[in-house]
Amino acid sequence: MKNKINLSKWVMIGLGVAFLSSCSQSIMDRINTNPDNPTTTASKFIITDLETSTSFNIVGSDLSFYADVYMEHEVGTYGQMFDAEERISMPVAASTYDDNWVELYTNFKNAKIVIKNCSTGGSEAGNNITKGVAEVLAAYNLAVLTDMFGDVPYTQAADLTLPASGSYFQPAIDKQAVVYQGIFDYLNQAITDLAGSDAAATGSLGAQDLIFGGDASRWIKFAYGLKARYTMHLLYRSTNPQQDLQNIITWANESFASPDEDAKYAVYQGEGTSASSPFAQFYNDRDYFSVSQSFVDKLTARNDPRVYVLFMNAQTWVIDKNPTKIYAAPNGDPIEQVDTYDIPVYEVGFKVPTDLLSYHELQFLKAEAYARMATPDTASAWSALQNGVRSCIATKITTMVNDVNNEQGLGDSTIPDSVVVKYMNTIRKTLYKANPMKEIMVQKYLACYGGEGEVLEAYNDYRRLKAFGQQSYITLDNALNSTKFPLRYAYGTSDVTANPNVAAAYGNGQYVYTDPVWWAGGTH
Amino acid sequence: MRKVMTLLCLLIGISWASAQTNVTGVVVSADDGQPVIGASVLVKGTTHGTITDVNGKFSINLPEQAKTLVFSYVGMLTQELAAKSNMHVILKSNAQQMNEVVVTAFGIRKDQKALGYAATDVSAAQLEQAGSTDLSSALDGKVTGVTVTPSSGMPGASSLITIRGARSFTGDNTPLYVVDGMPIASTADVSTGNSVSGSDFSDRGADIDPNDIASITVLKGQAAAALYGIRASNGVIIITTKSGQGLAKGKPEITFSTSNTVDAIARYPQLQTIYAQGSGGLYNPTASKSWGPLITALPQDPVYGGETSGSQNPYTAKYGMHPGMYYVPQRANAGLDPWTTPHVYNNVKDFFREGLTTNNMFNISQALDKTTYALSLSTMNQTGIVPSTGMNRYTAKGSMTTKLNDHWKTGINTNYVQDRILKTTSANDGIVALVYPAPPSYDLKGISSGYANNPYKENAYRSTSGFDDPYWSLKNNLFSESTNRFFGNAYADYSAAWNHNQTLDVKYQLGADAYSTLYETIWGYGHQGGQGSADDLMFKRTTINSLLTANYDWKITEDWDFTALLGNEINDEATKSVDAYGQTFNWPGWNNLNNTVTKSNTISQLADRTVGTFGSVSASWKNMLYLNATGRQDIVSSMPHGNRTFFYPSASVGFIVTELPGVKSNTLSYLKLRASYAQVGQAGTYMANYYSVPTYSGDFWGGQPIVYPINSINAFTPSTTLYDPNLKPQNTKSYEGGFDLKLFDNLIGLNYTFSRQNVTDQIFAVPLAGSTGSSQLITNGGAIHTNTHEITLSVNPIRTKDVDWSMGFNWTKMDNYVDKLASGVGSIFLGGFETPQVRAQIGDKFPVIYGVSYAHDSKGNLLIDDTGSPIAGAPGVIGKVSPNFLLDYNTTLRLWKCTINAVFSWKEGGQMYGGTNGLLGLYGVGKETLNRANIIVKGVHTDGTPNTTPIALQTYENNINSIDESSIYNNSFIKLRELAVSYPVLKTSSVSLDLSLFARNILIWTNYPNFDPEASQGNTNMAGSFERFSLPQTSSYGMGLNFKF
Repeated sequence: MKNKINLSKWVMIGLGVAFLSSCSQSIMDRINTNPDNPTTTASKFIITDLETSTSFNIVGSDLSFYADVYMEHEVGTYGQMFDAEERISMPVAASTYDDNWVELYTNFKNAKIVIKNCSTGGSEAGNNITKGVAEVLAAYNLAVLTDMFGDVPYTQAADLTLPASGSYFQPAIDKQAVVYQGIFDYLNQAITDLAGSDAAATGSLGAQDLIFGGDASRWIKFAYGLKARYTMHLLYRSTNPQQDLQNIITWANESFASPDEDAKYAVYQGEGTSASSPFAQFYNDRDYFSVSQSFVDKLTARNDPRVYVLFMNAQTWVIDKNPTKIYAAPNGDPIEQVDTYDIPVYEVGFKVPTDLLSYHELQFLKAEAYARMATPDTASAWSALQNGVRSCIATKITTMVNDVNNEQGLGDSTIPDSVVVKYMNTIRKTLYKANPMKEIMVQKYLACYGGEGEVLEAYNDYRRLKAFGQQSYITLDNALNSTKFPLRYAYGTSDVTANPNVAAAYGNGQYVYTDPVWWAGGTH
Repeated sequence: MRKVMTLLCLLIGISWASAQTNVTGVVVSADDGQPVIGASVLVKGTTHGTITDVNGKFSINLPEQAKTLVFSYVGMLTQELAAKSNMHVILKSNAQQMNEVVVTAFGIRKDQKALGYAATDVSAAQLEQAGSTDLSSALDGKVTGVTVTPSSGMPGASSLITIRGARSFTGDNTPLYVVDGMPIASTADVSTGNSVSGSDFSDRGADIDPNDIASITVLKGQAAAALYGIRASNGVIIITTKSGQGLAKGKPEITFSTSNTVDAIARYPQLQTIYAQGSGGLYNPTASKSWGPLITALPQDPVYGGETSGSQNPYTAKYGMHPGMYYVPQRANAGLDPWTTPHVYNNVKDFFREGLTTNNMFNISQALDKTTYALSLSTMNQTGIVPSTGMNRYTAKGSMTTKLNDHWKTGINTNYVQDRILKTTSANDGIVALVYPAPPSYDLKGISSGYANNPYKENAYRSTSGFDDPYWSLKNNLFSESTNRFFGNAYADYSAAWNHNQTLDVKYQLGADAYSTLYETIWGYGHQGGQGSADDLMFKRTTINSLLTANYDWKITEDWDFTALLGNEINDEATKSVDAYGQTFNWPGWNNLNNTVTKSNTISQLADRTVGTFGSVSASWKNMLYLNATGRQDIVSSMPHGNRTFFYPSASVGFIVTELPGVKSNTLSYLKLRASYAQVGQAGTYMANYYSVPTYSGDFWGGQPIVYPINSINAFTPSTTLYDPNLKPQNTKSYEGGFDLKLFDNLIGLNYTFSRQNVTDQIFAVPLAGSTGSSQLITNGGAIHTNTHEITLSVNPIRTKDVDWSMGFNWTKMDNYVDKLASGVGSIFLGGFETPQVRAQIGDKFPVIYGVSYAHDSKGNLLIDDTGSPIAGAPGVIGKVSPNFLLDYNTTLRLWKCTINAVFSWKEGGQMYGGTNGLLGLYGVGKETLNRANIIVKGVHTDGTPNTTPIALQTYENNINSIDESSIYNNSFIKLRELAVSYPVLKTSSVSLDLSLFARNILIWTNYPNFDPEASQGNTNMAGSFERFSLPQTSSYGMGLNFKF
């Protein structure tokens, strides 16, 4: 009996120890961690996805897809794009752009994290170039945000103190002018920071920078180019237009000197690789676009050389060499059917890079600035315009066509520079002579075509022209535009349902047809 | 401590000292005079007892003072008789099953009448009667307050079991499963997420063979489950498997049972058979829709007809005229003669096949002097109605208990399960997405799904962007789950009795549940025109459960009885998942991860531990008043530091009115009133904020357009989910009251239970405004309450020796209201598309369907635009999922030896999104599109004038397709869920052979068009509400044989 008691005692003590040691706080802390998820990372790894997300999600995807429909670069012939074409709920619905709305703010937050880490007192203080890159990308995302959506949450947005009490769960909306002030502040600070170095222990960006490989001088040029672009966005609201036009020219000149320097996300390796061009991937996964009749009409009217290389049969993938055989979808009234109308060759260009800011856009900005001067400098404007068109066709389109040919074997159909020069000479004598401003804007509209995201600038330009009363420069054929041209994008569901400030601004969503954004003459 | 042990030993000594006498007898049934096998014989006021053997005989040693024996058996009235030698006990049947012994928390057996809450038993016979291969369908319709939501009729398809509604919006609402005392995993490891693409993921309930279950007790309310603590707020399903327990000593009993079942699609959609593929009356051989010309007119088609010529028709120009025929490009691609005559194809019927299920079970069990054991092996081989789907399940089980001496008992239960499930996809990339809408003019089965010169290139009737040809998919895609699982436990039990009125029972049990599953998702080379992808997810989970309980029973006086329980439980769970993804196969024909170009791998390890200490005290007075109180303290690891310890109490009372003098009569046989209160929490998951490699999928993307590392460059981004460092467990307060009534000598039994659950501080992922830069915050925010009324009515109108007819009605009305969400949040997303979605919305029953509505004017008229088409209104609640009530009818009719069982289920009220029904209209294949005259939609224009503008049916269907409300349907139904006939072909003292014929889900009455309303998307809380190219439900017909010798 004595033995039994002792044994039992030890058993009881053992159980007691086992019990206590099974639930102490430190043990519970250890249990509740996932060893496979790091709690910190070096900022340059955040930059990598900031670039990818900005390029693929923001510039390359849905925002541009819908802009393609509204700007008649494409005709939506199935699914959501057909509904957008027909203005069936898509332009108004808060769900339409929600993914991108969320991604824009996620990018902004991630940029703020990098800026904080690399600022004085941060974990990577001294990494000024990394900080400067984050600032450029913060500005870039904010600009797309406010250009598309107008007044948006900014100063209280992407609060890094979340979820602490007192942090901003329902950020207030800022005026577009305030957001733009922030954009310029970020760009100016970036130009300063980018002149520094990456001195912190985590080291420089290097290959983590998928856009410029860590080359700070290219980022500085990018920042200047963006200043030119955004100054032009605000031109209608400028208090000193002549100075701003001069600034646009100066900053454009500080920016990329050739297409080789373009800010582009050129990592796509083709379908099924680790990265694939969004426009082609969209066609691959959804098949929602067809060639736009009004776009083809503009090319045909000019006998533009692009009309011979850009469009192909949806079934056979044979490029239409004869413009009269192009089977384009009528704007605003297509049959909802896939693989019926012709499709653009971009739909199979899985390697086509995403353009964030191109040399040719800068040339068009300069051309417009020269042409809008109190005393228009039409000679300089022409020179810039011709540079822009030649760069666009001879570099951008030729590269795309080559890529597509290499990947899909569609047969060679590039456009030699000599053909472009000849084409431009004709334009100069006719359309340019008749109305330089108009032709600059039309040529920019045509140059923005191509599935790599420049259509957002075409959409911005069209709305700017509307503010100036010059929207007739670019004719859009969708008859529904008389009452249902989307003047802006509708706020995202995630804020409409979770942020009363945005819910109030959204109302029933019909404002997208009636209220231009502030820089296009609206109030908000 | 030493004092306690000394006292214990002292008490043991006392118990050893008591003298004993032996009593023997036989127990027979009043109905047929047959021996009752396995009846319980207990010494009154003690836990000392035995059970009757195969001849109904028993033998029991009586303690000295014992005078009365209590005889009980499931389904029979308990009797108390004075102990004497050679007893002949006749037990009467009791349809109400009121006095049976039920298993309660931690395996404690209690008299049903002693409970202060509702607990329902389901017997093996009820579970097995219709040959169900999974537990959820076997349970369906048999217990009030329990909702079973199947997803489809596919082998291994997930199904959602909830008890008394939902307590969590996005978290787990399924009950805890306890098998032979060991809590085991029952939920799905992988969520179907938004549930609009890909394949289903089975729940781990699929590993349980319903044929091996001896009985199930459902602890519905929180008071019943409170002892299980933080994991039991959703109720508990206590499963006791078949074991040697209850057998008479002697030779081994061998059982072999086999059943074969044929499955067929439950409903075929009603389709038009007149119009050909095309649009606007014109034939188009690659159109997705069937708004083309009359099928008979195809030879006259200007482009493809064999009877037309001219510049438009390149085919007759090239191949000459083909009278009566037309040209089909896909036939040319497939290497067939492209010229064919018009024909109507039943593509839906062609596609589905008959499924076949074979169940075999071999069981041997035996009771020896001090040991009982059972071994069983079972197999289940099933082929689904969609070719390529199926399931194989193999289980082996061993259990053994042995009595070491008068005090010590030990035992072991082990289960090994291996299953493999072959699945397929539904919804957006669903396999039926090109079956139901297939044009009746197109020979889907006859025209090869691949090109003659390249079988990997899809040859479908329409573009395969976003879809695969169904026949191509069968050959090239693979969706599978392979699981190996072990669960079981070993225990030692010490019991002692002293003073004839006190017993102590101490039990320690250590259990384990370990499984690994490989989930394979392979889209073959050529998938949607690409080169395919492979995703191999290896999931491993191990649960260790340590349980120590001590039960003390003290019969204080003749009137007062007191019991107490003290226990400790440690539950430790570790999961590890390795996800290997690769895309772009190098070459066709070997769709293997090792053959992919682009790869990305992730690993995740999570652990969770709960340490609980619990106690319970109960007292009863004169078999009339029963009082019970419990408390449990849990310490959980998954909550934030400093916020991990919680205490939850419960109390219940039962009062048997008919025990009062003079109340009981021939009319009023029995009346019990009961009430209970409990508080139970549910822990959330708190994690420190972390970084991970970002992924790109969803949105418009069919696969992953970006896969890190990109050209060997990797990236990390912070999680967009934030965790509240002040997270506390959500709290469920539950009040329950009810009565059990029996009338006219137990002819009629009526049970009523009302329960109210108030869930506060609900934990869920609060969706954050996108402008915060984060997507969601795991925090306490919501509140939901549920009022549940449950009525069970049982009637036994015919009770004769030869004919016995009994029936039961189970009526459940559950109103589950969302009271509160986080501030500023009006509704939260549970699943679905950008629109429509399934959501939880403040003020509405849970859940609702949310999407684009029809616009109405202030008078409620439908608003119509200038073209004659309905106008889309604002997004909002367009459908309410929750039914008004559920009524199940169970009946058993015994005619001599033949027994007929039937289960009817009636779901009244509720709506679902019937995506496919809407799409059948859109695609012009639904029967409703047969009359293609223009229609005038009833409604008014915005100026109030009635609409008189006719609109083409195709345009109308097209326009309303973007109004989600057009696809909302009422889905009330009445189903004949089970019908079974069983007959004992042979019954001798040594051999018995039973034959049964059964059918499941064979008749349905519903206004829901075309499909079985119990086929839907998702294994999450949205289950049952959202249908879109979902896999069909099945009707089953089978036969079973059961040999026993």
